[in-house]
Amino acid sequence: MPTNTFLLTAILFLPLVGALSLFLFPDKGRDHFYHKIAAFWTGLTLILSLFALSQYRNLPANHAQGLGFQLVDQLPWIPSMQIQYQVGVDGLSLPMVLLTTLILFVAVFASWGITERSRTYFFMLLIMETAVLGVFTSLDMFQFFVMWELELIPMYFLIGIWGGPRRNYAALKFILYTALASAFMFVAFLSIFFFSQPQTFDMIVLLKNHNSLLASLAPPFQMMILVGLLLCFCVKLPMVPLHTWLPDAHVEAPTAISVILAGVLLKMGAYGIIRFGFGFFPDLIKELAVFMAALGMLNILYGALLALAQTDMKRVIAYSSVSHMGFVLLGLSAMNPMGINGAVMQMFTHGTITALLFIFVGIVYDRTHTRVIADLGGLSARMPLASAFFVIAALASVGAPGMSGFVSEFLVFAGAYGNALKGLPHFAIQLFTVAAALGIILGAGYTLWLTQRVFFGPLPERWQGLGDLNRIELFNVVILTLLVFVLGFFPALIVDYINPASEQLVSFLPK
Amino acid sequence: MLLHATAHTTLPTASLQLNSLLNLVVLLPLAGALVLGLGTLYNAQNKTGISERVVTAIGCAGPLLATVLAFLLFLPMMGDPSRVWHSPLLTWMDIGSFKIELGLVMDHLSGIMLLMITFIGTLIHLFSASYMQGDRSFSRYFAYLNLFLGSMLLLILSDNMIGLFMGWEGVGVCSYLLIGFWFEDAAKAGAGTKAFLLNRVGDLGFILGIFLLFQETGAFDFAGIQAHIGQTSAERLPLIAFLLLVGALGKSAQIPLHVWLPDAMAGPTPVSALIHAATMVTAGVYLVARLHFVYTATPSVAWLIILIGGLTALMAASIALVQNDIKKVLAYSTVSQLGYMFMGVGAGAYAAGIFHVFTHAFFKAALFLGAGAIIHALHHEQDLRKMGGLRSKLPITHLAMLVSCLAIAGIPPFAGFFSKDEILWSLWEKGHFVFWGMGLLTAGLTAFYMFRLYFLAFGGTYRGEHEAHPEPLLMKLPLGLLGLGAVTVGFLGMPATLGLPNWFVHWLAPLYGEHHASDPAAQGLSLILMAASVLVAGAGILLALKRFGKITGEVPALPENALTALLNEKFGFDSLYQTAVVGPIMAAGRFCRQVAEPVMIDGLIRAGIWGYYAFSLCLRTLQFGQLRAYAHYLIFGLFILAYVYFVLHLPGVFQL
Repeated sequence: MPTNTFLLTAILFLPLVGALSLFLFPDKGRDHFYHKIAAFWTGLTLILSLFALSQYRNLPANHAQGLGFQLVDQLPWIPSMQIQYQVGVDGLSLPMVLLTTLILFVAVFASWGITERSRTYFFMLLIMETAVLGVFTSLDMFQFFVMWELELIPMYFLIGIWGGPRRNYAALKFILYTALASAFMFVAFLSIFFFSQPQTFDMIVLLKNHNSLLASLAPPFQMMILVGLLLCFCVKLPMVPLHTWLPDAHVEAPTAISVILAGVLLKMGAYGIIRFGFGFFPDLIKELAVFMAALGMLNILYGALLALAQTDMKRVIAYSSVSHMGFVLLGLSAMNPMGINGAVMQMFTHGTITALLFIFVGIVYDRTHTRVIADLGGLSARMPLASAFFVIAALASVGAPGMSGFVSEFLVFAGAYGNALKGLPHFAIQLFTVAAALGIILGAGYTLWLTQRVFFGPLPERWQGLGDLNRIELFNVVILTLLVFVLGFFPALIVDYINPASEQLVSFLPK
Repeated sequence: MLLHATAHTTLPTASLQLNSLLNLVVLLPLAGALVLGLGTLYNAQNKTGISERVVTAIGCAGPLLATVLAFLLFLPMMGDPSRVWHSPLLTWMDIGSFKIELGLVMDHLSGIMLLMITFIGTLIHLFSASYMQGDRSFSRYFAYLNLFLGSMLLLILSDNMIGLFMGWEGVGVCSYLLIGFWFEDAAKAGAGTKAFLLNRVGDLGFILGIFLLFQETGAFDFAGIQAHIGQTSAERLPLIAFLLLVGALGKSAQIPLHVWLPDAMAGPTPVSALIHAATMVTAGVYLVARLHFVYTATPSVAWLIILIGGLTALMAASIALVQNDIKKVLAYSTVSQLGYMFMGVGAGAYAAGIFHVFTHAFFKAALFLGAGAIIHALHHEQDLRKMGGLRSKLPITHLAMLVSCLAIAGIPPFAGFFSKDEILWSLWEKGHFVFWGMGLLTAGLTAFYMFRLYFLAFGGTYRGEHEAHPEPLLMKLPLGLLGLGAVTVGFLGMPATLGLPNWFVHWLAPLYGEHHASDPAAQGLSLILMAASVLVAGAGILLALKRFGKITGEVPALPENALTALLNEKFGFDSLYQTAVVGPIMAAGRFCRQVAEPVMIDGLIRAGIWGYYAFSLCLRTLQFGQLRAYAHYLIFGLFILAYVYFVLHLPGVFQL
């Protein structure tokens, strides 16, 4: 099965090479020198990942053929511990890889305003790209863990050095939450290694033997390990009440880092839940479906209520992120292909739409140096292009038809409503779905209210001198907006890739 | 005897004929929207953009071509009544376990709606070209208008729930954009948001209804739903019907979700004509008529529809009595007329309900455009008290509005008379005498407030400050055509009870069936009922004439009493929602922000950290550096280990 084309390996390590290459060139005070180098490497990674997409053969779900991993590269690493270097993608991780390379590319342009220590900044950014790509492509638990931890370090510095006034608090809170959660993952991975047959870190082998994982442990212990593992991913997701690091991190982080945080990093949590929770423990995860639905509903409603009450523009978007990630949990709780397709598509669409919204927060902040909603208003008079695109992004976030958010929300709700459970849990999930659907009203409320208060109404005197989007901002915004529309009209473009993986995950689940 | 006893339950599928021209009908306005939208973005960047002339040409081309196509498609259907056009528009996804296809179908119901929407929509586009002249956002306006029309056509023509829902949401989005079109005014932007939110409340019910229906029937397309509707459980079906109804109530501005429509008058006046006369608000009626098989099977929900329709009709008509803003009068009159349509479809008289949709579209569009012409002539004056004597200044507007007022008041032989009477007759025939009475009362009120509007605007002498300028040609043409429609389209549905040909019911017979029997008793009865409604309407007009016919000075103020206070408060719905819904939600949000988030979650975690810190402090005190104490710990630990070892490996050693 390993094909060793090293295409994925190239994608994975290109940003790292790029990060090192930054030190080859001394800074001679050239205009945006390191920005351009970073743009080159992330652009190259994006192109290569698109090439990987073209090499990926989209087979329909065929359970007899085993798992759908393709472009697998395998090299021995620490043979004595059954640890190896192994990467590969399936319909679940491929969209995430594309999302990562796209968002990081966009993030470089969103960082055009970074002037202070730009070399170190882009060094961190590129390292982070490798780490995140590693999380999405790793097919070895040990390697996955290394990549997961590797992502924390650049993020800590990116918030801690280039952040806002309370950056130290936010960076520390971020790293404490995530590192503490990783401890659970570490314990879980070790238990899986020691208590499963065969003893290996190879995720392909483990996924194939998902029925015998932890078989030597009593069911309650199995459940404990799964819950611990999920807890780690839920911190990253983030799930209420483990979410409070996120708004703080968002508010303090520079624009591009918020874009990455919301666009990509949160998806690592959701990806982990699907890859490990569903892939490794299908029998157990189905027992947790009701809780997932309940917590998803809680995320949606609680996040939406908080978003309504915020006075800071960036916090509104941050809490909307919490709310929208609840849809992922809700979709997963459906335990049917439609729901899982919806959840994965929601991960992708949320990545693009929320990135767009954070870019706009940055655009407004760059010009006005405030994010307090009450101080803004009427900006459309001076920024017609920005407000036009913001309205589009807001409507996409609300789930207007013709845009990708509509499709993913529709699939999530339809999937969760017709969930694959029986008896009481079935009705419970339906009930939670109905309650969660209230979130679409609240979501429209806070998003459109924000739009109204920031961009509509009379323009205050002091904002008379604001300028509209520049070319770089326009470039960023147009790329993401186009993607939102294309996936809104032709969701098959992405769902065709996701579906085989979802069908397979569902086929693992107990009937 | 009932209309439905003979109704065909399914369309003969053999008559479905592929015609991809149908796609063009939807795509042309959307293409216009795309081009104009990009043009608007281009304009935003460059100060000198595309000229108004070009925008008008592009903006009107899509609707005009769509109208032509609609007629071309309609004519063969008239020749061969069994013919139904259909066309696959887009496959959303097709993946093993489920397949979502967005197809279009032009059957007899959507055909008649299509004709009406494209025709009136085109006229409104033409009118707008004149009305919006000189507006800074001329191209943006036409982009929205085209997008709106495209969404509405998708809504009408979709052969499945998802496409319908996309169009449904699409018109919601466009109405948000169009109502808040002049967003520099915070109140107008707020009206747009309000409309969208209330529609969302309806959408919530709608989408849950769709899911439940999908779960029960396994189908998203109407044919599939209709085929499997018989197998649905008897408890679920009323729930489905109710949830879908909630969506319809939101879109069609019925109690309790009607409060957005009057505020929606913040948009440019031609928009009001488009949204509130011909298209969006009728979507709810269309939905009920489209899913008639669901509502026929759930009489309790159907009864609820009549009740809501009746209450809405009466309530809105009474509020319209005290409005002084010309657009507000028309807005409440729209809500009221929509109530009529709901009574019609609720009573199972789907053809009658759709007929009223059809006639109403003509005369209400004429009224709104007439109001637009007046507002345009009077430099954006909307207060009826500052009008008057416009008969000679705006002759075409006056004529169009006069026939439309006569039509809406239900005076024969104008259009509204036939459709309104059809609904009242069905209510009586089905034994809903109370609702018939409500309808009759509403008819009287309608005649009164419409002619109050008419006399205040056109009668007496001019009371405003601005000099009125005459209406331009581009306004006269749509007004004239719509006025002509208000006079003539009623003849399409003459009362069958009198033995007259009712083309409209006959046309919709493939969906709803037709009943031919007209016994002499029914004939006499229906004549008596007609006479009653005409008398009531006439009384309303005479009363309006007496009070407002010849006002030369100040318009008399309303008497101040409990009733007018209640009407001015619009029965208190807005303040009720503010205190009972918006207030608590915002309070909950503030509670989450100020208490739940910092205290209950972060506080708890902080307490945990402090506890951990305190615990480690305690541990630290154990290590104060005395070697003897450490030796004690060591021996103590050794004993424990030994104990554990013995317990585990030599069971029973401690049991003597």
